[in-house]
Amino acid sequence: MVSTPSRSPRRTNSDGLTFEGFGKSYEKVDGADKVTGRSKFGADFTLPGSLHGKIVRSPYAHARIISIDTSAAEKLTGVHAVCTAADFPSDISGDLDTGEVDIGIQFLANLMMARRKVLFEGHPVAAVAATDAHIAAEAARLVKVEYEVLDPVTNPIEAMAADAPLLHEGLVARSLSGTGDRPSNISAHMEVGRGDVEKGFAESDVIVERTFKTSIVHQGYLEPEAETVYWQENGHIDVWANTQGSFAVRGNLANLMKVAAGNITVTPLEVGGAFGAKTIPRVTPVAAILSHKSGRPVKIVLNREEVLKATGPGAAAVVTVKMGATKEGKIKAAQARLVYGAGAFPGAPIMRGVQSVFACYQPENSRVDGYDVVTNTPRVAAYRAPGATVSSFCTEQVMDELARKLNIEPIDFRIMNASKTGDYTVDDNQYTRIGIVEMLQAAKAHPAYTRPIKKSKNGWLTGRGVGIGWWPCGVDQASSRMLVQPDGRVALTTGSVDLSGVRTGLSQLAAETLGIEPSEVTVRVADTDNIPFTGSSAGSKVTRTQSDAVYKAGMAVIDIMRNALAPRFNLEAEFVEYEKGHFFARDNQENKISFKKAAKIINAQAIPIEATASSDPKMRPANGYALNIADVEIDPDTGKIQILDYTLFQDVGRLMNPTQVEGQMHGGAAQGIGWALNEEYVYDDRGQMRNSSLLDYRMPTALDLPMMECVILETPADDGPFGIRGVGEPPIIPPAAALANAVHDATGARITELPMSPERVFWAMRDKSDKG
Amino acid sequence: MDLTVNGERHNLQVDRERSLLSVLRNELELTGTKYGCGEGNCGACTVLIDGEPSQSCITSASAAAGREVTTIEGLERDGELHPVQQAFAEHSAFQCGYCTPGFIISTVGLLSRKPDPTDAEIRSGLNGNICRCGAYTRIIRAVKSAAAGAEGNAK
Repeated sequence: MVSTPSRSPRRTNSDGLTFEGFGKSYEKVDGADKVTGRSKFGADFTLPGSLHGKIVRSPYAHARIISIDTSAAEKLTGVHAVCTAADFPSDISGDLDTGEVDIGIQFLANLMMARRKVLFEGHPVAAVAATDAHIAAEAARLVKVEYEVLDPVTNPIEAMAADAPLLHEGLVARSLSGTGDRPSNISAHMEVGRGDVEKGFAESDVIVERTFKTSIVHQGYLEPEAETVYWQENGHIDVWANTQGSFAVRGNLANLMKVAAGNITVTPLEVGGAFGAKTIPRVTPVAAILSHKSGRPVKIVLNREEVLKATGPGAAAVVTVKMGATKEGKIKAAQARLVYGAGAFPGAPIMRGVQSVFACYQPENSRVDGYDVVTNTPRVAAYRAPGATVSSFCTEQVMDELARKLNIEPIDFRIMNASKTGDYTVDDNQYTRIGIVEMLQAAKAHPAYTRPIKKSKNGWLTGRGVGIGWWPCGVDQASSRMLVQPDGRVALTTGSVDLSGVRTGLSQLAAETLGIEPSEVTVRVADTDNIPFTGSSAGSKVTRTQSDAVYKAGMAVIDIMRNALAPRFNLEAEFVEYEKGHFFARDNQENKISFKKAAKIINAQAIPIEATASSDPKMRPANGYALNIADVEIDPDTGKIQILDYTLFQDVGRLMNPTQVEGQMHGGAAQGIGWALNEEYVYDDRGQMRNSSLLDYRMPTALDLPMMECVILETPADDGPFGIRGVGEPPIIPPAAALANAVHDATGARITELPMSPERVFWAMRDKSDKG
Repeated sequence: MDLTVNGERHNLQVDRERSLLSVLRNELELTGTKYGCGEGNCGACTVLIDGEPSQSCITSASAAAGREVTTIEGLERDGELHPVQQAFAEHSAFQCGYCTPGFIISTVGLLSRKPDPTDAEIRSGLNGNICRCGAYTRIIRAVKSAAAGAEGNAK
């Protein structure tokens, strides 16, 4: 995709190379817009003439749709369109792009708008578009739906039972050993492993086995989904969306609507938090149908209750982990059974759960089974390192218990068994360069580990826990275009949606490549017509994959400039050098031309200084991993946990901008701590969510979180010009594990269920003392 | 009704029970104030009413009539950022920036009551605002820096 072949020397692997602008903190380039309220998020964008869309939702968790009567709604003054599943193309097929969690196209269509059955409370059954939000709400109330209510099942283990209510009559489990013989709520069974676990357990001196449970949790982004679609009479569809992936929206909409992707333009808006959830279309297809029927732009903005009940939260899981080791501390066998609730349609993150459950370690023999189970709850989406947080919570507690039984310090037991560069995962993928051992050693030597735990001022029990977590991180095509303006400023246009720092990060990458200051680069996020395909901003891959695209575009730009300047030096282009912002003749460095001056000269000759590049498709993922040390105090009378000290460790490959990295580390830990201590979906026996407000679904505030120290490690990643690893997802993984191990250290009780509410901790302590 | 927002008086024909948030965003096109939950639990919609931080999603427009409403758009003076805005930008006290207007308004209110707050006072003063990106450490740094700056100016 580079417009001129790059002849500039490629600074290949970052090993040993220093980068002058790396390691310095830069303010966010979008800071002024964010602190003044000028940034346009999804709901802030309104196209003139827009109608307001409102979705009619099922009040039941499981029911058959007998009839839908939209006539009263259609007659209401101000209503321009009403739609149901009957308005959606039914014979659809095609590939889907949903980031980290898969879903079939027909399932996706049925998730957008229920056909025949509703499968969770809040499942869309119809939608209306009207001239204002109040008329739309009134029209939605006038849509009459007759249901035959069915028994719901919200718990994945209960959903696996032979006599459980069946969600999809035709769903037969897929697995390596063949498909099942009759329909069930199990949509897939994954099985991987190495060696012979039975032999491994027979050779073990100590074996620990425990079963853990986690609930559905929500990403909790503060900005609800808000999208505008205009299906024009000429057939072109324009979309303005607060999405993580503009190309994913385009591709999915094209497949769902049976429209050519080239007839759709998606313009990404600012995104007020997403954390994996805004990778699956939610509102766009409904707005598209309403716009097609009305001929007007349609804007749909969800409210908080809709967000909690009917978008894509993180999956609930039930996981059994069994590990055995010799008395010398060698893990001989590791076995796990993971059951993930996908919600109403298949596609929980079981693959990532299976991959991550033992990824930090090298058991001699392993076996992992993963089950994807449908339940009458909202269809899950990715939530920051989907699957890995649950894996870490379970495995790290079993590791801690095993080490204590072996009388080996848990952190030493981890070091003895840790995965290293060149080792293999349970599913036979080879690790590229990693530094898990180095991270464990750095933690062991750190004051956060060596100093005594602070005394509890309340006289409560105190304890310290360690947890680590691994995440593969993703790769996908990423594209950017670099244009050098006559005044020497650089315009960088990128396909990556900016969730929290893409523009800031890419300005630094462009500056580093060109040897100029980041303040001389302006980054804008393009719509889908103005940049080659770029994958979603998900999977902790943007900075890593864009580093390759931006570097290649930068090298191509330098080559254009060297070629254009060659006649001025009376040289062939290959004898023109570029370094630290200046062009000069290789043999005579007296007569230098600055980047700025060169930009003016070359633009005046009507030579475009412009190059577009995409990342190398052969680039491999660079794994991320993080470690937390948690010191806690626990009220023995109530089970309440308070954090005394909290330290975060993470390997980022190459540290670009410490402020940005710290932000991701703090943010992931904040979500991880909320998940560990407070957050869960509560359902009643009719499948109704009992805590669908932010008062009852409680996310951490400034009062709940400690100051957290960040320790940033650098083991450069393989592939790519700068050795960068993904940063965003790994920080959410270890908190639940570290806190659970700290609770055990303080109380002797094992907490096997999230969240670790005071009640659960209290009963676990009581249980333990009952058993003596 | 008459609504004074950022020093400007508006005569509006709106349902008196409509939320102030809805009127600000839809009638006055001041979209810097955000919807987060609609129930006063997240703080994204915080505005100042007569200098007091108030949740505009659960305040009716009529309750704000005749009083001074200040939104995030009203903090700049002569094209200069308010010191609290400046501090949030300098400390990168946000990631996505959606909760930022609410946090900044809450901070302006907090500092007018307590010009030199302790860490604990900042934490409890901002307890009504949720930042899901978890930028609390930096928000606290920004608040302290803004407080120190204001104190420096006073001396």
